[in-house]
Amino acid sequence: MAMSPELVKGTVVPIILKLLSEKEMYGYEIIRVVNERTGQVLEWKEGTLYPWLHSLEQDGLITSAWRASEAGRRRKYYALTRKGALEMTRRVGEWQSLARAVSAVLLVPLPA
Amino acid sequence: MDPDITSYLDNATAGLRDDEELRLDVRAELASHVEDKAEELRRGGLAEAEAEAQALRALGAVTEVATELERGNRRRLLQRAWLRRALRFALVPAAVVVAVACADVKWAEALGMMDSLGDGSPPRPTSWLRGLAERARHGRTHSPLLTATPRELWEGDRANRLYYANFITHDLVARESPNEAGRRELLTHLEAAGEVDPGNARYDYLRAAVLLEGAVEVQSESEKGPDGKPLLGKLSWTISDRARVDEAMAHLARGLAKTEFRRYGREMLAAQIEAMGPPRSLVDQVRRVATSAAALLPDIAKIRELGRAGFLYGQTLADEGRASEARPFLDAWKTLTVQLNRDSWTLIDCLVVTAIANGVAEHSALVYERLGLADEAARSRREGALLGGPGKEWRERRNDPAVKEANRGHEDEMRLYGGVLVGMLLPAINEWPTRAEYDANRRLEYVSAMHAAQALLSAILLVAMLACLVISLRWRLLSDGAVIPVLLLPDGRQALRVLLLGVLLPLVGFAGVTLFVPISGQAYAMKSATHKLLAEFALLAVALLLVPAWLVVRAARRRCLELGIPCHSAAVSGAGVTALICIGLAVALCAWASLQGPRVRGLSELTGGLGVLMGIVGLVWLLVRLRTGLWLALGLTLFCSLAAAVCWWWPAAPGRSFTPGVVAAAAALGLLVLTAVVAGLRLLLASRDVGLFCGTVARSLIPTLAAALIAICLTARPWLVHRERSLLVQDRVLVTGPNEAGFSRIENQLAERLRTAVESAAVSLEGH
Repeated sequence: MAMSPELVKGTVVPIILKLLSEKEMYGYEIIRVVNERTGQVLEWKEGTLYPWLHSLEQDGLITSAWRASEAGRRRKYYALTRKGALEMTRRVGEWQSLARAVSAVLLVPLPA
Repeated sequence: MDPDITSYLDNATAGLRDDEELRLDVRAELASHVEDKAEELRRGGLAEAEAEAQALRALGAVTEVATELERGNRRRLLQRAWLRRALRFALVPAAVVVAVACADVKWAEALGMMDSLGDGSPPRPTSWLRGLAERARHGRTHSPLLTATPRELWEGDRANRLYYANFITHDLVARESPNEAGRRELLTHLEAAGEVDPGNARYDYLRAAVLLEGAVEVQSESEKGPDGKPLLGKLSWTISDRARVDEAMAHLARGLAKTEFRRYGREMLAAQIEAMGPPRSLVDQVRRVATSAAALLPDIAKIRELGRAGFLYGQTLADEGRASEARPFLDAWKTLTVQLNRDSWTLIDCLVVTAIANGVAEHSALVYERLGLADEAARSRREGALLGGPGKEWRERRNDPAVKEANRGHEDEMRLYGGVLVGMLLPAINEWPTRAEYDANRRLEYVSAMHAAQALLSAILLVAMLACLVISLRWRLLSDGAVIPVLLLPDGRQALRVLLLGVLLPLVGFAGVTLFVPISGQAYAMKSATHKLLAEFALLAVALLLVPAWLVVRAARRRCLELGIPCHSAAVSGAGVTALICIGLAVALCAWASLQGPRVRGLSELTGGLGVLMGIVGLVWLLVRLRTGLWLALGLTLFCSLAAAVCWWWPAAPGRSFTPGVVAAAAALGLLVLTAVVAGLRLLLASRDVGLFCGTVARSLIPTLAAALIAICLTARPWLVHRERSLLVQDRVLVTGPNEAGFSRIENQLAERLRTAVESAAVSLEGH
């Protein structure tokens, strides 16, 4: 199901921060995990993930480092900073409040 | 890589082309993403080409990706652009400016002056360095007292007695072998000076001395007694122009009648020293000594000859039966002695006073005896003994065999612990400071050597920056635009690591080692420790050049791999650098060990053995790890180990020759420089496929070298200047007091003692 771009746009930052709070990941891994966990509902444009990652890095919420895998391939891994962890907590809380509030309106059944 | 992928990646990152490093970084990240996606699709069963095509499509439209990448990196582009501008247009020019501003060649001037004062014991700087220092000195505003010639000074103020006396002394009297015209000019000025300064006997004496030249020929026969001591010889003269002699003696008599004798030498020197200001560096102190040396008055020999001439004239008159006329001249030596003593301020003055009193008084006594005036003869002898006693006693004490034997020990101590100037000025005085008193003066010379080291290090770093620029330009200009070296921007942590480990740590270590006397070798005279200085400098140069370069190149290699730039295999090998540092440390340790001598034998053997061991470790490390450049590394290791061994077997001791140690340490330093040159050539002449890497490494090294240069200049120079000034204050041997004329404090004290003793004797004679 194609999602509204405006809705999807608002979820990108909290999702990235939440995933990186679990472990450090590289770009393609983030795409893959999002697809798996959302059951392909959120299918991000892969190329536009990186501008978001770069922007978050400039804000100091995440850091990056190139590392070589066991197979010798170099990948750029991203990790959450302390500032990013605080931001993640705030955004998750924000999302939960918004979801409750919107659900309270959108999910109320119509009167018979 | 597939051309479609290459094209996509280039287009997607085109918006970042103003920052090549960032563009390559993002490009590499996207490439990695495509590879991962394609691999996953291949695992799912797709063919490679189809997998790659699908992976590219999954990234999205290239224009959209390009736009988003530019938007997402806009802030970073701006920040990095400012940082690049700061490095290129602020840091690097600032490094050049700081290096030039902190360049101090006064050490060259100091060495040159000491060279001209003494016998050339210290190393001679090249003439161009001395010239550079001289030009720097004359570029500063100086008092006319220091820059004008004696004639210019006098012509600027003809009524000034000081300047007129100075002009007569240094322009007229000092002329060697003046012709008749010169003699007439001198006599004219002496007459004029006598009118300007009518109470001063000096000009009468000089007129007498000048008139006597050519008019008499003095014969002096000396012989030695059975004990080897010189006996009073026969003194006589042959008069070729009696009229001139009479005229000369008339001037002498006029001078003897005056109460004042002033050469204004001390006053002029004091004025010059006041114009110089208090010494703030070793070169200022050397300049004061050189100025004092130039102030030695050339007419002192004439005064001494006049003392003999007075007696000889008296003897002549006595022989002619004019005894009453003879007596003032027979006693002229006494007035001359007292007058000269009152104007004495150097040891040479005091010795001339002694020579006149001791030499002429006895001759006068003999004449009095011939005239039958035994009382006068006894008086003459008594007065001669009184006035010449202090100087004679000093001289006899100096020639005493027991004192001479003790002096040998003092001289050995002075050679081992004293500075160059001290070695020039003290032996003649026969007054010896304690060993601790040599410290400040000796350390002053080390500070000058450190100034030279700082200047040399700055020059080496500037040359290294220039070499890196040449390498970078070579790849940019000679590759038809195919290779444009990237300026890799360091992150904060890397920059701090380079600064701390590569610059500050070696500087602090060097300062700690050179100041911690038990191992620094600064306990010994610099002349004895030249090879150790070279070893220390070699080690510091190795640390300051190679360690930051190694850290930067290592980081650059890692970054180039991340950016997908093909790297050179072993332009600067970490193993090679490690081995070179070990070798440098080995040389330094052995040189330090060589200076401990028998005093701490165990420590010297321990450190020497440790040094050789480290050299062997360096060799083994090279053999095991380094594959390329092995022939150079082997030669380097063997030569440096030889240098270390030579340094170990040449301990500091009086009379030892240190030339082999100096040659070995200098050769080791030369080989380290050669290694740096070889590494640079490898970057310059590498194959084209690694040209981007070589050019990038060279270009990225420039800011690091600039930062290292600024750090060295701004930390070392203020500390060295402060240390120099504090040591000048502590120096109790050489540094004279404010406005105090003379070579050294010790000589001034001795001359004052002798002068006071003679003055007391003169006062006691006047009382009788």
